[in-house]
Amino acid sequence: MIGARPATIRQACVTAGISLSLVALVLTLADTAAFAAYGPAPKLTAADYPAIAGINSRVAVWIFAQLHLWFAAFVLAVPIFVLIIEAIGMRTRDKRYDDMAYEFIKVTITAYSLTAIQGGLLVFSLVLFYPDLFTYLSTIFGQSMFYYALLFFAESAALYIYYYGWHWLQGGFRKWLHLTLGLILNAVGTTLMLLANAWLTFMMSPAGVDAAGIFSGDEWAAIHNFLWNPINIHRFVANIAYGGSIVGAYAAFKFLTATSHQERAHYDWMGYNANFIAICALLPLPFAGYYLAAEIYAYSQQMGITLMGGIFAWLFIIQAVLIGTLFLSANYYLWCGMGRSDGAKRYTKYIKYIAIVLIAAFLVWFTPHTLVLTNEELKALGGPHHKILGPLGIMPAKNTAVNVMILFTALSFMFYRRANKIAVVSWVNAGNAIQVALYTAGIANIMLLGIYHGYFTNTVYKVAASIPQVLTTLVIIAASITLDSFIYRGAGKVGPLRWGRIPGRAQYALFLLAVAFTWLMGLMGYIRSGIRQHWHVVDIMRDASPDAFTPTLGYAANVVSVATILFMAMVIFVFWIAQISGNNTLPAGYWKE
Amino acid sequence: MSMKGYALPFAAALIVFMAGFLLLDMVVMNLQGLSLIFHG
Repeated sequence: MIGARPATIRQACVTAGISLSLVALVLTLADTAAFAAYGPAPKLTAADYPAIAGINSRVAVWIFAQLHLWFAAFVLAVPIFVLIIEAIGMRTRDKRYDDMAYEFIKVTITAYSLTAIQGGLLVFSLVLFYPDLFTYLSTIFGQSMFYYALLFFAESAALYIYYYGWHWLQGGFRKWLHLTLGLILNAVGTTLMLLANAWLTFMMSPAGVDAAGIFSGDEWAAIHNFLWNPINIHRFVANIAYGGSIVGAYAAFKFLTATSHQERAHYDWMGYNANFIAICALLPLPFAGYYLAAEIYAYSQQMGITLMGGIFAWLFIIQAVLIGTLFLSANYYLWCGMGRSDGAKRYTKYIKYIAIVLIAAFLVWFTPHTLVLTNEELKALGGPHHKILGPLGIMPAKNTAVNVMILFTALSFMFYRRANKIAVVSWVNAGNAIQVALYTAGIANIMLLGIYHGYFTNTVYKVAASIPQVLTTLVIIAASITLDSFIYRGAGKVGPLRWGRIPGRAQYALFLLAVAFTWLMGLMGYIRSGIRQHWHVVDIMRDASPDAFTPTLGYAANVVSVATILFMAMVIFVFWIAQISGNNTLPAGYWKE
Repeated sequence: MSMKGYALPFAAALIVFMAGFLLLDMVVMNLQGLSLIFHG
């Protein structure tokens, strides 16, 4: 650890330096804005976009924004569950939790500097390539940008004290003080995210300005625009799932490179907890996404149709494949993890049935409605829709499929939790029967809503029926966990859990989870931004740059894939830094005695 | 597993849960100004 500190202090200096530059930049722009009367949004021409030979402005901003967002999502999410894990450790007085929380936060320290660097690159590239847009946005959001930069200082201070003070602030009142610091860190981090979300959602659903883009002077109105809260909710949940998946990949990396059984056991336990966090946030995530999409439709039918019925619809097929991958890899990890308990054999016979249902739901989930076909294929098929599979391409089928996938993932998790327990209550058979009845009735209800309202009613009913479907899923999960806690009250153990007894291939499921999440966020982020089409700020400020067109899906997917590779390379660097920070070299005879 | 210990609780719980879920559907659809059964 001692060897790592100067490096981390240098990182802190880099972060502080970037923060200072940002404050200076925002102060200058806000100062200019304060003295200018609020004018309409500028009408730009191609000449208003400076260019640097050999650099595509849009791709540069795109990649820097994406890299910044991935790192920001990671460093904002990890302190949330670090705080919870630390609190669990304090409550249970189990030091393993405290050590795990410390190791999680250690990984974020290097990532924090990279977040700041990417943020700096994003701001400078925006100022350089899109100066009029940046000036217009800073005219409206000058105050919040200024406080954002100041909050960044507070975030850095809280993070560094939280991390470096970890071993100093231990026990009694000091531990409470440390937890409070963690709480402040999270409060500041979340506020930063909310402010940044306001700027991007303003570009999609502008508020606080008139039709010509003239700012009313009410910055809160501009912040509290129509899509602000839907994005806030979606990002908050998604960040936690993402943070869990990245630290899960870290644990997998450490597991695979571990040299002792003790080390493997520790990182197996860490990987399990990371996967648990990712799954807990993954389960409500489709609902948050659905809410965001519904609000986009509600704000602008045109944006909504472009989103899922227009050019971007095919990216949703890739999204479906990636989400299916997330569910399959999370389940696979749980199934492999059941091997830690000798009691798991009672449940392994059910895994194949869960796998069959998950794969069937996965296939429905990514079945396209309209196929991309040649003229010959169209003729042979009799139209763009497949006669049998075509009906599976509409949303009611997909809503039904995703609810079933979520429920069977919850079932996998229930088997995992039960694997090492022996119920002692007298009514265990009745309890199990009630569990089976709960899932049977719930799934029947989801199918009924999906089939009847999806295929035998009109569009209003189709959309409306998705809400009781979601509620059914949530009721089943909540009721099932509650019922299981009663069935297993005072339960005995089959034996000690054998941490570390998990095949290496399970660790690759954790890697897959992290990569699929990253790629998914990149693609969906592109869609969210791309539905503005030729507008910087929808209906207010037109994009007149040479890149004011929607690129082909292949091109967009390539840009996102390159960014994903860059990000994963930097994440491997972060893991490596965390790894070498624990290494000590004692060169014999090098130092004077 | 005995009939009394498993099948009866299952059947009873299934009826209760199905009724409960149908009630939930009805309430949520009503809140949206719709009925559970579609009247074209």
